[in-house]
Order: sequence, then structure tokens, then C-alpha cells
Amino acid sequence: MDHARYLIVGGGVAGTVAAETLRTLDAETRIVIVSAEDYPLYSRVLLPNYVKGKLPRQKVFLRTWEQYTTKNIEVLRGRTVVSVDAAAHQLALDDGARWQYEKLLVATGGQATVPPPFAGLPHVLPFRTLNDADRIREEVARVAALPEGARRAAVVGGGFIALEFPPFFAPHGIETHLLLRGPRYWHRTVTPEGSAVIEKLLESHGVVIHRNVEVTGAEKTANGLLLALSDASSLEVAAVGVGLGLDSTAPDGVPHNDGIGANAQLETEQQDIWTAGDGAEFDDVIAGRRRQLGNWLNADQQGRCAAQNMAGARRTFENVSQYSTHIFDMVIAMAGDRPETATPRVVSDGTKHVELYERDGILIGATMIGLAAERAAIIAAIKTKQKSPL
Amino acid sequence: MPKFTIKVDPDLCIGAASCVTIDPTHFQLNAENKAYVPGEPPDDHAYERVVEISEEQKDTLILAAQSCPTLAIFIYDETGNQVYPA
Repeated sequence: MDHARYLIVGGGVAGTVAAETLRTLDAETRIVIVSAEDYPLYSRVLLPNYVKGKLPRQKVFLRTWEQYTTKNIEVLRGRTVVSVDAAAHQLALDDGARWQYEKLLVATGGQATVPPPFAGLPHVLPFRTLNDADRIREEVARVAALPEGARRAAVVGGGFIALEFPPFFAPHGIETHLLLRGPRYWHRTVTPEGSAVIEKLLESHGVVIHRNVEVTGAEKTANGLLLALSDASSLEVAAVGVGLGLDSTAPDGVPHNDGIGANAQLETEQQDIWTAGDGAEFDDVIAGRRRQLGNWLNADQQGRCAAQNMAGARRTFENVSQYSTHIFDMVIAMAGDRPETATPRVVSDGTKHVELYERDGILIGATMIGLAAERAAIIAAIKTKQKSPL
Repeated sequence: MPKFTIKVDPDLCIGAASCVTIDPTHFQLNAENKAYVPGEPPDDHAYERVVEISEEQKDTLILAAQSCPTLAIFIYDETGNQVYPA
């Protein structure tokens, strides 16, 4: 049986940063990453630009394999961990290999949710990985070449990832239909005025928004799929972008619900197992509750913190989370804590729109739509626990 | 205190603002949604600047550069050696 002092499951930013941090703390011991994807670290944040053709594929990579070798970090490429025996400190890979570890980090992130009506069907496009991005590019090219009446795509979902699809489709003359389960875009995340700013932007680019509707069935057609909708209508499309969030993925033997539970030091309930990244459901000391965050900065910072703690530190994870994206040149960003039960203070001129979350006069979080330079001051105020600059 | 040159490549920067979140002293966002290195007017919005900082500030600066999801931040020491990306 192979043995590694530090074994890391997941080759994304959390796992890679954790391995590199461990190497700076420990020059000699064996560090092994098990990575499901056969790529060195790449930037998921850059994938939309690659899909849009603004960036060549090789530019999404943030590491080369040589850099892992130089740091003496081993990577088991294209492998997954199927089970963990925490008591024995052992795990099993999908190729049957068994490994003994001393400290384990589970940074497996998640898999894009693909709901049952779409299972096993072609032209269904989740957006999570570089392989997903490759497929989306191929499908956009295919659909763009169809006769005009057939150039139609659907986007399912009302969150951040769903928003990435219209800018992939619309510039190619693909009629885009956004199917929302709720009454408006982001109805659990922003006020009705905030939804209206984003919906107006989408509609100005020709996106057709369907509200309170779900896909109840799908069947293959000559060019794509015929979708049956919950309002008894149907929609024939050539492709479907799926942005419905993530399913937590963890090996058997690592308990998880929505995510993998962890304390404020990112330690799970099982001895010598830590977690970091999109899959970690951790005690957030800033928000004062257990949270799961899916963004690059959080994963980067958690990978670093978990690694320090695996090496013997006792660091509490503290981070002002921040995420942003560009949709048709509008920047949409969220920072800090935005409790679902709280009502934000809205500052808006209909184009630049900010929703501020405050506690005892101190800014704790914000949703920022259409802001550029002002964003830094808001993030700084959250980080330094100041009043809002707006 | 040692001097470092901080350089943001505006062609690589996508305004993800990880650096701004970690080290707001050395990174701000401009109207083009690009990170810049703030300083004194008239040259207050430069993409490149020499700063004199403590060891602790250096750690925060490197952390900010490492967090960039597009590797748009470069840090050099006084002799011109690239400190990050290493």
C-alpha cells in the first residue's frame, strides 16, 4: 500500500494551493493530490472568456505540470477517491489502489447539478469544468450554423452560472430563453428592484424570460430537444444551458449533506480530515453561522488555511468572501455576508444598483450591480468593519 | 524597509477583485473594472508602482497576488528579481 503524509483529494484551486502551502511548511514529506480532471490547475473564473473566444484555451491554465514536479508534489491524474476509512487512515481509488495517509484534505468541490428530465440526453450543457467549456464552444458553433428558425437555446436556472449562458448564445444570433423556477431572476438573493436591473439587461440583449416555470420532460429532436414545461407549453431548442448549482461530491466514508461539515478551523468531525473549497460547509466566524461558499477567493483562502492547520497550526478561517462576474459588460458582484432573512438598504439609479447589508450601522455585506470603481470602497468597508461609503 | 515593484497587467485583469479584498492598501479598482496600485496624484491610478513595505505588509501583498484567478499581478524585489509568480 502506498503511503503519503499529506493526501489531498481534489486538484482545483483549494487542493492545489493546499499542496503548495504544505510544501512551504514541510520541504521533505510526501504530498499527493488525487485529481479527477487530467489538467494542471486552471482558472474556472476565466472559462467564460474562453467560451466567448476572447481567450485562447492555453491561457486558462495557471500551472504547468513541471511546476508540480519542481515542488515535488505528486498528482494522480484522472483518478477519483471512491471511499475513505477514517479510522484506519486509508482510502481507495477508482483504479483499486489503496493509500495510507496521515492527514487528509477533501477539496472535491461539486458537480454541476443536471436534473432528471435531462439525464442522458445530448445538447445538455452544464458549466463547471474545462471539458464543459469545450463542449459549450462546440455546441454554440453547431447551433449558430443551424437555419435561423432553429437557432434557439434555453437556459435553466436563476443563479450566477445561468447568467453566464446568454452572453455565450446571444452574440451568435441564437434566440435565448431563460427558464426561471421562481417569479424573477435571483428572487432569493436580491430585491425585486435588483432583479429588474438584471432582467432589463438580459431583455435588452434579446433574452426571453419565462417565470415560474420548470422543465418537466425533454425528448430528442432532429436538431436538439423538445422541452415540456410545467405551464403545459413546450419549447423546441437546439441546446440547453444548465445553471442549477452544485451537487456536493465526497467519497464514501466522508459524511456530507449539502456540503462537508467542518468547524472554524476547517476540520471535519473525523480525525485528521480537513475540507476546503466549494464543498466545505464551515463555521463562518464572521457571519456567525455555518456557510457554504462557491467562489474562487474562498477556495484559495481555505486551501491555504486548511493546509496550515494540517501541518499543526490552529488557525481560524476568516475571510470576506467576494465574487464577481461580467454579463454583457455589466459587473455583478457580491461581497461579505448577506443573510437571507435580512432586508438590505437599496441605493439605486436603475443602472447602478447596490444592496447593502448592515448590522448596528456597520456594513457586513453587499450585492453590487453595475458598479466598477466604487466596488473597492465597499469591499474595504466590509473588511474593516466600517460604515458603508454609500 | 525593503522596496518592491507591484505590477498589474490590465490585459489579464478581469476585475475579480480578489486582490482588493485581501490587500486594499495596494489594490483598488478603476472605472474600467481593472485593479490598479493606488498612490499620490497625479500618478494615483498607475498599474505599476514601487512601494516600501514591512515584512508583514509583504506577506499580505504576496497573498493578494497569489489569490488572483488570472495571474495578473507581478511582484519584483529591488534588484528586479520576480518574487511572484515564483
